[in-house]
Amino acid sequence: MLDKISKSTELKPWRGNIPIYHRYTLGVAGERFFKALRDHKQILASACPNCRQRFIPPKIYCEACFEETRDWSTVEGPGYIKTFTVLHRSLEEEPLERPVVVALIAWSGVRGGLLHRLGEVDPSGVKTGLEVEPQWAEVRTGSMDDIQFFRPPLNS
Amino acid sequence: MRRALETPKELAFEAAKAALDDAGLTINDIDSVVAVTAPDAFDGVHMNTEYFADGAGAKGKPYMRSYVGGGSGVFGVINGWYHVASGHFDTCLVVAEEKMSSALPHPQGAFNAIYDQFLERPLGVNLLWIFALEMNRYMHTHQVPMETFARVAQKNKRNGMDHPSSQSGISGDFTIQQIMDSEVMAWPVQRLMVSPISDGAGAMVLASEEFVRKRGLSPVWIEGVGWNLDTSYWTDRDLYYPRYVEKAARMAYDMAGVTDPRRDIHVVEPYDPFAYKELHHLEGLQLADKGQAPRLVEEGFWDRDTEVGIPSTPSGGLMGVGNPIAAAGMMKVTEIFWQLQGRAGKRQVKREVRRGLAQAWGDLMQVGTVVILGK
Repeated sequence: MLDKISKSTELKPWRGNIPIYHRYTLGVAGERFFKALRDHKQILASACPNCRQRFIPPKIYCEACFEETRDWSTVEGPGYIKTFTVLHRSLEEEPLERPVVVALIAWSGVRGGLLHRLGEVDPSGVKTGLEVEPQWAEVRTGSMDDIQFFRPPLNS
Repeated sequence: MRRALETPKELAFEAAKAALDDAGLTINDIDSVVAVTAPDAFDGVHMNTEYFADGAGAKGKPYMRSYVGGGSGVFGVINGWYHVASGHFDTCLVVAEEKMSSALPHPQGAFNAIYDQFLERPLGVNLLWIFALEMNRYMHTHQVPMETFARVAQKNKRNGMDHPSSQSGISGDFTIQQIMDSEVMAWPVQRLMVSPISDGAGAMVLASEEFVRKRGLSPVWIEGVGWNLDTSYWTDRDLYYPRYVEKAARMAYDMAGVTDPRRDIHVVEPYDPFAYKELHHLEGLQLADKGQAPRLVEEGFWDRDTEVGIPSTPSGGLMGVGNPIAAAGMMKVTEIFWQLQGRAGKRQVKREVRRGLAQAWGDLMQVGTVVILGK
C-alpha cells in the first residue's frame, strides 16, 4: 500500500473545470472604504464606540466588543512597514523577472493594516519600521489598484 | 513525484483499511465515521468528504464531516473523540484525505481564493507570501538567524527518511549549507524550508474504554483535546506569536491534568509546513518561552535522540514526509500513537515517553487544534 508512483508518464489524467464563477459584494464597510480611495485619495478607518479601537481595513463591527463601529476617519500621516517579503516566484511558481516587494503596512494607533506592493525602493534596503505613503493611480476605479504601490515619503 | 495515481476514494480506503487491520477490527466494528479534508478546491470535488465517504467506510453509518482547514487532521480526531465520549458510539473511524496534485497550474491558485476579494486577492496573494510575512515578523521580533531555521528543516528531513510514507525527494540528509543555498521563493522562505505539494490519507480508530476492554485491545488514550480560533483578519494578529495555539494547548492541558507541559509532555508533533512554524508552534504550546525555541534548536533539545529535551517531529513532519494537508495533521497524531506504543521503529525516540502531543494549524491561518495522547 505504500508503493510510490515514480513515472509520471504512467499516469492518465482527466482534465476538468467546475463551471461556476462568482460576483462578490464589497459590503457596507468595503463600499465606503473604496469610494474614499477612488474619490478622495483617502484611507479610512472605523472605530469602536465602546473600546475606541480603530480598524484598517475598516469593518462595521468590533470583534472584541461585538458592537457596531461608528466614527469613520482618515488615517493621519505615513504608515510603516510591519513586515515584508521579497517574492521570486509567481502564483504559478514561474520565476519572476524582477523580485517584487510586498509588505504589511500599518498605522500607529490603528489595528490591522493593508497588504500592498512597495515601489521606488531597492529590495535590499527595505526594513521593518520603514515609513511609507501611497502612490495614487491617475485613474482610480475603486479597487486596491487605486494605490499603485507604497513608497518612502517624497519629502524624507 | 507525488503519490498521484489514487483517487480521493482510493486514498481514503487505503488509510482506513490499514487502520482497521492494525487494530484487528473490521468495518462491521465501526459505529460512526468522521471524514476530513482541507479546502475542496484541491481535490477539485465540491463536498469532497461526502464524495469519498464510501472509501472511508461510511456507507450505511452515521457520518460527519468536520472542517477547520489545515487544522482538520487533528480536529477530525477531536470530533471522533466526542462521538465516542458522548457515549453515543462505541467506535469511530476518523479518515483524513487530501489530494493536491489535481489542482492546476498550482494549488496556490486555490489558496488565493481564501483571501479578501478586494483587499488582498488583486495582489495575487498566496500562502507563501503570507507566511514569508509572518516568518519575517517572527525573525525580526526575536532576532533569529536563518541557520536556526535551516537546522529545523535538516532535522525534519532527516527524520522523514525513516517514515514509510515519505514522499520521494522530500526527506534526506541535507547539509545546513545546502538548505541555506536553496532557492529563495518569497524571502525569507526558501525551497528546503517549506513543505511540498502532496497527496495522501491517514486514519485512526477511536473506541470506548468498554469496547477496548471487551475486545482485549492495547490502546493509547486520548487525555486532552483543545481548539481555538483567532481573528480572521490576519492583519490584526500578533504575527510573531500564535495566541490561538496557546489557547488550544491550555484547553487540552487542563483536560489532561497537565500542569507543567515541559515536564509532562515527552514527545511532540507540532505542525511544521514551514521551518519557522515548528518553532512558532512550540512556543504557542508553552514548550518554550517566547523567542526561546530557536535557542533550544542549537542545544539539540528538539532532536529525536535527545535525552533531556522534548523530541519534536520525530516523524519527519510536513517537511520530511509530505504535506497532504488534513492527512498531514492525522499523520502527526498517528506518530504520537506509534511513539507511545513503542512501535515507531527507526523513528522511535530515545527517551521514555508516556504522554505526547500533536498539533495542527489552519483555517485562515488562525486555528489551533491540539490532541494529547497518553499510555
